[in-house]
Amino acid sequence: MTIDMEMDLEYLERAQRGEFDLGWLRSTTSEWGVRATPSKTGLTLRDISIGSYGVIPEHAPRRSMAPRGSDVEVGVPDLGYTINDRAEVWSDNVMDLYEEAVARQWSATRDIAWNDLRPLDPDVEHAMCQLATVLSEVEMVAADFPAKWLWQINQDFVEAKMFLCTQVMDEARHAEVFRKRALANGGGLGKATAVIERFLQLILDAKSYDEGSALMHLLGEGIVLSLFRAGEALAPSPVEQQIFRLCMQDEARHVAYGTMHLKYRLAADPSMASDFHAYLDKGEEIMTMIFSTPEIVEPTSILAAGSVEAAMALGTGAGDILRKQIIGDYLKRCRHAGLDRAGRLQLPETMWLDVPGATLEAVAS
Amino acid sequence: MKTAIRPFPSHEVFDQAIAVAEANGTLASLGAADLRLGIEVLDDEEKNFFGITFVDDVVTATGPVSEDWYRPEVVLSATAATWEEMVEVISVNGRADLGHTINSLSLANTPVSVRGDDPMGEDKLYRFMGSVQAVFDAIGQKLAV
Repeated sequence: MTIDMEMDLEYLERAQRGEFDLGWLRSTTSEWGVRATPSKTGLTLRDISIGSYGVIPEHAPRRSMAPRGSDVEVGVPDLGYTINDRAEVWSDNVMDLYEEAVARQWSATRDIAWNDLRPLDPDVEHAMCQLATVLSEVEMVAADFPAKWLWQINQDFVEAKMFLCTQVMDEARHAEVFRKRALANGGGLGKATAVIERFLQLILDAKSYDEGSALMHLLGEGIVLSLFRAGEALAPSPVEQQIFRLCMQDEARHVAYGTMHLKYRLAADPSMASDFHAYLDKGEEIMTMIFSTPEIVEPTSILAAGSVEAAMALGTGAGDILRKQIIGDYLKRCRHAGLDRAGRLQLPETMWLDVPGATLEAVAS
Repeated sequence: MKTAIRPFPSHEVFDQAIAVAEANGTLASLGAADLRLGIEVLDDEEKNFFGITFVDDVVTATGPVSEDWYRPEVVLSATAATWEEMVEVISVNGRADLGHTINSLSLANTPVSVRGDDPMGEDKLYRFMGSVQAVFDAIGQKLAV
């Protein structure tokens, strides 16, 4: 398809004579007289979500990059967006999460006290570096996935697109900070495993944004949020503690989006529950493998115990607590979103035994 | 050894800690926050409840109040002994050590338990954990002033 982009020479001649068109000034159909009032922190997305500009369509009327609420000329090209329904990408907290993300950015270069790192026992350094390797590996998928879908999301849902842009930046910083940690204290990168790559592949190859978002925002990032929480508690020094705490804050935002997006999606179309159950069935199968991956289980156990010997003496006690917490939090978020996974978990029973809400009986009681 | 701000828990302690965290720029450097955090202190006979409210760049302490009145999004609950130990460690180190951060104490939901009306409230604690910890760390920093 070719687009008529010829220069309007007659208009240029008229304009040179001072005969302006002024159609954009005199006959615009977009809303005039809007005056958004800044709140305490400044002018937020919620502040400008007023009048016709605050009306977000359930279905985008066109597939252009025209700003929502603008006076759109006839003949704008179709840019081929594939996500044109609000429910496919929206969440009720997305504007607040965008503002929060912008307000709470940090720098992996300047905000971490890298000079305070001290030599660690080689096994503990190895464990820290292995965990940093895994996290540097998995965090980037949470940038790749939104980036893959961003250009397909209709511009009418620009607030959701903007939030996903902040997520891309957050994840770039997470990949950066863990790569830096692996290289900053005499260790280096550890092992990248096939099982983790398979989970990342599942997210990247998702057939729809719905599928990928459930796997990534809800399941994957929920697991990583718990890993960050554990990392903050098991950190070998205040340097890693700060890294994990800052990453935790970012990751919790992404999980909050994923949970509330699923809630919005299911409220708009409850019949999609079976689709989401199927997505998560697949994801949980991989989750089982991740929970039994030495490159994740053993570094966290060693960091918790302080040495290889102490960790082996203790077994996976610390890991068991972490796993139960991950599963429990995941089940709570699913239920809050309107997708009860009780009795449907695809994990071996030994993994979720004693986890509140894992069985139908537990929910009933 | 430094002595923790007393009496803990009290409205004055939280007020002073917030003032210190604001004065040293920690809260501002972490960015605006939005959270209604409840702090529950369980003693043998009684229960004390305080609120720390983060709205944009402003942090305020409330209490003692009833939980119903304050309507927190998330509550951190622990025995008085647990809170006392945390405050003592902070007062000695100038900030929480690795085993006494709010996150580490609540990781397994013990000795500090986390409860919210819904998971979004609990997740908000994690979204603003840096700001929450800054307020608690300031309890120790106040003593160094």
